[in-house]
Amino acid sequence: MNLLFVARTGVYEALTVGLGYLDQEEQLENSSTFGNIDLEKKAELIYLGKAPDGNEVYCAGNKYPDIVVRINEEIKSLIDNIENPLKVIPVSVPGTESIYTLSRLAILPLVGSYFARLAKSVALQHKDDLVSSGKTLRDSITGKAAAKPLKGARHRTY
Amino acid sequence: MITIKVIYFDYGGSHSSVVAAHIHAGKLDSPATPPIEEIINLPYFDKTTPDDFGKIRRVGIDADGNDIYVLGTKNGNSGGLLSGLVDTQNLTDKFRFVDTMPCVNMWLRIGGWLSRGLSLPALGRPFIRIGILEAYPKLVSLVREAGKTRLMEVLQ
Repeated sequence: MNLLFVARTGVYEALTVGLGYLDQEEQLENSSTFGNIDLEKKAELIYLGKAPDGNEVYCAGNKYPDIVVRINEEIKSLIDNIENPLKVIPVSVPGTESIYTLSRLAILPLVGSYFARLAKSVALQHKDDLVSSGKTLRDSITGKAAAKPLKGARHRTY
Repeated sequence: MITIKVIYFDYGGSHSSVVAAHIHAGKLDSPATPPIEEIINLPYFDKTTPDDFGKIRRVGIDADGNDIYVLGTKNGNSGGLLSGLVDTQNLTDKFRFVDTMPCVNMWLRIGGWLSRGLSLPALGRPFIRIGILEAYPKLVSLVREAGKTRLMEVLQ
């Protein structure tokens, strides 16, 4: 199965979540994709890599991630027996809403680079939340449950 | 016979994509611009609602047996995304996406926004009438380029 993370921005939010899924978050700052406005404008799928679970991971930006989910489901409904289906996962992390606005302002001539740097900065401020979101999604997709206390165990108090 | 699914898409899935799909499906069978009433009475034309965004709606079938659809993506730049969705699922040879946004003129933008965006069709339709008549020859050319089917050869 292939996975596509879709957020309102591809080269900021969806990329960070995708790298979190792949356990490659340390590559974010050095990635040529991170904050690349030219890639963002193309609005294409960006390949991030293959996860240990075998899933090929992509990211993309779209103002309406739920519509991308719907389009993909509609495409799948038109074809029988897709060998290699794509699962589109909409991503939204609270507090990152301003990144989209900044990424749009980053397209402006002359002043755009200032807003691009600002968008990067805001994305880095929320890196932990975005990465954590990717890891949580990975655990839910691969069926890896979070550690639970043993049945009957009680919290010790000292 | 190998057939594909041809999907005409634009922002709203209401005007240019609907007309192009109907031209391709042979439902507007003259290469000359048809009467405006014929266009306005097409299924889906200026009738979509916000719930229709992302919904792939079937218009008909062309002379080669290809299924023809329309789609509104709520985005003016969806070609790369749509190609990517089918490429990653190894469906490239089963779909053809045709972007009708290059045929959308100022009249259609204003009319579409008034009619569909603000739900004021009485205000928007006069603009849409002007816009679609102006865009029609371009849509025919687009369909000819995109189609490459027997019907298209007849039209040429």
